[in-house]
Amino acid sequence: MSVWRLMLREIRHRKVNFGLGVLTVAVAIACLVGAQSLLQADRVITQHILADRQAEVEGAIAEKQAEVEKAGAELQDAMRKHMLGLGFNVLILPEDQELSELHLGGGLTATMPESNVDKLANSEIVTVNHLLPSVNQRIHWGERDMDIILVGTRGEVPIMHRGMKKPLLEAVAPGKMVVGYEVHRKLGLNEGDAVTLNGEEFTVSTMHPQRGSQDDTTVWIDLAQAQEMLGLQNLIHAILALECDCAGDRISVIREEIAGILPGTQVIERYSQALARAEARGYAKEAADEALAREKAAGEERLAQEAAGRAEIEQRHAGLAAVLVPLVVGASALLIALLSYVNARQRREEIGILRAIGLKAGQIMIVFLSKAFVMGLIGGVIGAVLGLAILTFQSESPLPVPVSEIVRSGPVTSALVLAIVLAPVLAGIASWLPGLIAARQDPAVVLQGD
Amino acid sequence: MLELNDVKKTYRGASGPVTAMNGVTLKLNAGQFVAVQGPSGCGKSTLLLTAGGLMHPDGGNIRIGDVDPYSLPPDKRATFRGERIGFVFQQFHLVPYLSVLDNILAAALATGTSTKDSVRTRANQLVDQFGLSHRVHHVPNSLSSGERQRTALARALLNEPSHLLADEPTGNLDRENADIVLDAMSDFASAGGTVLLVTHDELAASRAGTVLNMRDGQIA
Repeated sequence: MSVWRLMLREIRHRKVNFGLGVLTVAVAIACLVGAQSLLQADRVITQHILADRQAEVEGAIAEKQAEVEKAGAELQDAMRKHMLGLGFNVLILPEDQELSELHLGGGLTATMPESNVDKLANSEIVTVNHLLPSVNQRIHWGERDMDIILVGTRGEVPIMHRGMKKPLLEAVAPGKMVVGYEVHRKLGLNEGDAVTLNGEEFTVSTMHPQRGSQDDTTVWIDLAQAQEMLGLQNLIHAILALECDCAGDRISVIREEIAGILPGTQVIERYSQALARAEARGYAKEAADEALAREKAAGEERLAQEAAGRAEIEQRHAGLAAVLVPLVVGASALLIALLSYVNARQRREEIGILRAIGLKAGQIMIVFLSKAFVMGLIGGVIGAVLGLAILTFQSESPLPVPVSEIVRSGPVTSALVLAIVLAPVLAGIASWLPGLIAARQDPAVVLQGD
Repeated sequence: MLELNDVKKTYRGASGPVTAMNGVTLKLNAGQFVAVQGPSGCGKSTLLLTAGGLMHPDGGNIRIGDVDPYSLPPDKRATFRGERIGFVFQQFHLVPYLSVLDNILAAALATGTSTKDSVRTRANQLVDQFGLSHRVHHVPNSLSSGERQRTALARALLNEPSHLLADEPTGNLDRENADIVLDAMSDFASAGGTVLLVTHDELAASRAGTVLNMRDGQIA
């Protein structure tokens, strides 16, 4: 016989009281561990969600980055062709050419010797990189009953003192025809078609896509053939000078240099289609850059919103736990105290006689406190298991990580250890006062019941 | 030896103070079996509880052997009771969830000897002595009144006290069981113990060597 045996016998005798005590402790500990586990799960889920979002955002940004790089590469390629150096174009025309004719009709009437281009090519000109002689005349395509601008070109004439450069524009081979968009659309032409232009046979070699300019109603053929068809042998209407290099007041410098070589000509700045495309690509790159910036900003905003949303959820849960856990633990402690008090009242007679036969108050306290300790220990373990089980029922199941990962995390492990250590201690504290009341009970009062 | 000198005890009742003992003087020597008789409310139980170190008197003094139990601090007084005094009550006051043997051994918790083999041996001897061998693992609810009282008596005797104080021990017993209890008390006194029996029962009182009458808180 021992105090321990006395306690165990009493537990077996009053199972309901003990069971309620264990249940009370278990509920409190389940609440504590459950809350801590859920809060930790919140944190883990948040980390995973934010990592996923971060990856999504980074993926989207990388995609945009690739688009920007592609646009940049295209631009660079275009600029290599059209914008290398200063990159703007001028048109050299005979001095008597009415510019309104060029602007209104697209064709030219004033001519100059084709040798001008050779003169220019053989000169020491430094402000021009590429030379393109041409005839440009608005004609009626009799066979097809259509007005077109006929351009005869022989391709680029290399500037001799520069050495050979990769041409920016290719020549049209004799017998071949390059057709503008409106022309081939209206006439239903296809590459390889044989056509007759005012009695001359041609094969369609290239068909341009829509450019939204005069080019759409233009037909390009070999310069010599064009000169013959138009009766302009050895004459040209214009020299297109490409990739003009100079700084500051560019056009005046070029005019001055060309006037020195080709007197009787006029020089106008020609808005370059290539430049337009390059600019368009530049705009595209800018737009892509802006889109990239927007994507980054939107991604950051999405991340911030997600983080804020998760923080709000965590805060709400933490707030709820901060209220609920102390409430449940406090209520449980009160209930344990009440159960202990009821137990002490039930045991009034036996405690009276035990005191009468010589048990000390301390021994009575030990009987009560050891029972509370056992109650707390069993309830603590059950509560800890229940608390962890709550994880499997929580709303965001299935969890993105194994439960074991959450359990192994610091806060939950601490809560588990704390719960299993603390539950017996708290149960003992809650039972202290009822035990003290029982221990201080006057045995004479009980025995006087006789 | 049990000695009470001018012991007084007054309760606060609802209708005013009630004097339970009004200058009780009494001396019981070792080997003496004394019965106290008297009507209900004359102070018999108060006398027994006060003499047993369970109820502090308002006046006078008590000596058990050469010790005034009320001069001892509460825990030492409890141990003193456990070692020196055995109690038997009309209502048995057994612990309901302990077996007969454990109820007997519970007395040894007071002396810290409950797990000693010698104490277990003595407990078993008492079980045999009081005819409880077949009930040794039974709880009080499954015992007869006689068996319960015999268990209580065995518990009172486990620590080999020098004094046995009994309050109406035969009040709930048939004659046969009453005789067993009274025989045990007589044997205890014969062995040198001091017995103070408080009873209404004339037959029980007749077993005592000395019979005292108590009335209005005083020994007549």
